[in-house]
Amino acid sequence: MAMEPKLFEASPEEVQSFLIRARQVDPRCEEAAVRGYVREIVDAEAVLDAVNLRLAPLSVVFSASWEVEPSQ
Amino acid sequence: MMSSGGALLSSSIREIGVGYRARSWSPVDVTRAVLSRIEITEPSLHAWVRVDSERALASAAKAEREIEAGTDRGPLHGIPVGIKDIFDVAGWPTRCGSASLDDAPPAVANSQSVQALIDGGATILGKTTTQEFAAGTISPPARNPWHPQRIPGGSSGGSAAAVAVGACFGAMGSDTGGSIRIPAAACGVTGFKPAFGQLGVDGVFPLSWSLDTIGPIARTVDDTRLMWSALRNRGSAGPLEDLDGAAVDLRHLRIGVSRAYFFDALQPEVRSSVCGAIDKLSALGATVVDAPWPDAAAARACAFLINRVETAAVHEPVAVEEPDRFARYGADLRLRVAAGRGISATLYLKAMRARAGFKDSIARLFAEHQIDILLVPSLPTTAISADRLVVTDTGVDESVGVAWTRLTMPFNATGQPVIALPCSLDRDHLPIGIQLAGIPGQERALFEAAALVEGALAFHTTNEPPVRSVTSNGGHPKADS
Repeated sequence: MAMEPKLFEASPEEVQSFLIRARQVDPRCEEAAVRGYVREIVDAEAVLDAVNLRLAPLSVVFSASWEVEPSQ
Repeated sequence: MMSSGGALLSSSIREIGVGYRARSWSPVDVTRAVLSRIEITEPSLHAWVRVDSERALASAAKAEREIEAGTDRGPLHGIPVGIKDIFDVAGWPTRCGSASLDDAPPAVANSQSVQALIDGGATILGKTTTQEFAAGTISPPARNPWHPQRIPGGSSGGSAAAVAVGACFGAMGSDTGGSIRIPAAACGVTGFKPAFGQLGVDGVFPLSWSLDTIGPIARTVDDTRLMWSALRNRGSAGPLEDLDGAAVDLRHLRIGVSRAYFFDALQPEVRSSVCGAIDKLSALGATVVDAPWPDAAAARACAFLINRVETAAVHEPVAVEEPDRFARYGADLRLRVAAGRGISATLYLKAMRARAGFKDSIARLFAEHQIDILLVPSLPTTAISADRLVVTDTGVDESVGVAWTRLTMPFNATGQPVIALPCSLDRDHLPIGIQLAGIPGQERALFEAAALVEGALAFHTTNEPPVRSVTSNGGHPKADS
């Protein structure tokens, strides 16, 4: 599944979008803190996007078992 | 006949249990010794948020009467344990390390796991310190028993610190991104993250329901296994003699080592120590093979994203409906909840979908290399200073929260069972730990492998935390007040 990761930076619009949502519940939220949070999310998304998910099952129900389970 | 408190508290759960049954010491003797140890160590450790001496001694007295009457509840009968303060214990409030729950009422029932421990005869001493709502790796105000200016790791930091100094023989922790394995590594004890879904989480405050696991922290692999057996079998772990490990030697053990990713960005001494441990296992007969797992970074990212979304979802009702209570959350968690509302559903579902792929890829890795366990470091560093919560000496500047979950989170994505155990000390006498990841459903084999590795590395026979040594007075334990 592994491919080379591409790296993204959070865009100002993206940070603003998160900031608006955050300040709805916490007016004290600082933009710098939200920017740092968004950077972590964007970095994780970039790493995940480097994986070819076309072969991953569509189901999001998770079991830790390694036994083969019948597909739905 | 009663042994000295110091010697008793260095004993294993199995040794304590054998002594009970031989009438060498009693549950009340041992509980008094533990309470005395708590009294001495707590001013510097802050590992406990509640200790109920009266209730613990009453429980110990009951265990003593039962054992004398021939009733044997199994290996945990009369064993003093601690409970992380996100687990409900009937009669005590569950405050989750948060000022927002200062007014929490006493829990009306025990969590499923606490009930299993009680059914197995364990003595519940009290609640241990947790990072706020189990969301973090620092566990303030708890400190590390190997160096009181250092953090114990988290979020089950109080449990690991208490076990390390002999303030209990085992403790409950939870692990969503590494919260059992991280403090176990930082404090030089053993922690077991069971396979996702194996142990019920009823009565435990959730962090991220798709990833949350609960499990034991204890000093040794055998102690951890005895606790896990009781939890797994809802108290009935069976008599002590039935839980002896199979006599397997290292020559039958095939260990995979995943060097890319897991050995990147480590403190040099952590890298050399873990590599030294691998060399030692190989020299003693284990077969060690390179088993690269190219999906490790993406698995970590997957677990991170699921964790962030679900944490926000768990706490959003408080943020929206109880703003005054939400205002009492710490700044880090407030940010995580507030900003986490902005993550898209598409990204969350993408991470959930990817997770199944990562489980398949690690299963293929085990099959392809025919390995019994995968061995990797637990943490990229040893315990860091409580005054400077950043990691700068691994070649990558990171917050402790990012750095300390980097090596543990991939296995929360795969959901497989993992044991963390200590392997050595660095030059500052701080523990360095390894993780052994196993196969779901083959936990017995994982514990047997871990016992072999533990025996080969001989950490516990040569190392005790300085706090433990200072407080081992060699005399009889003080009477509890």
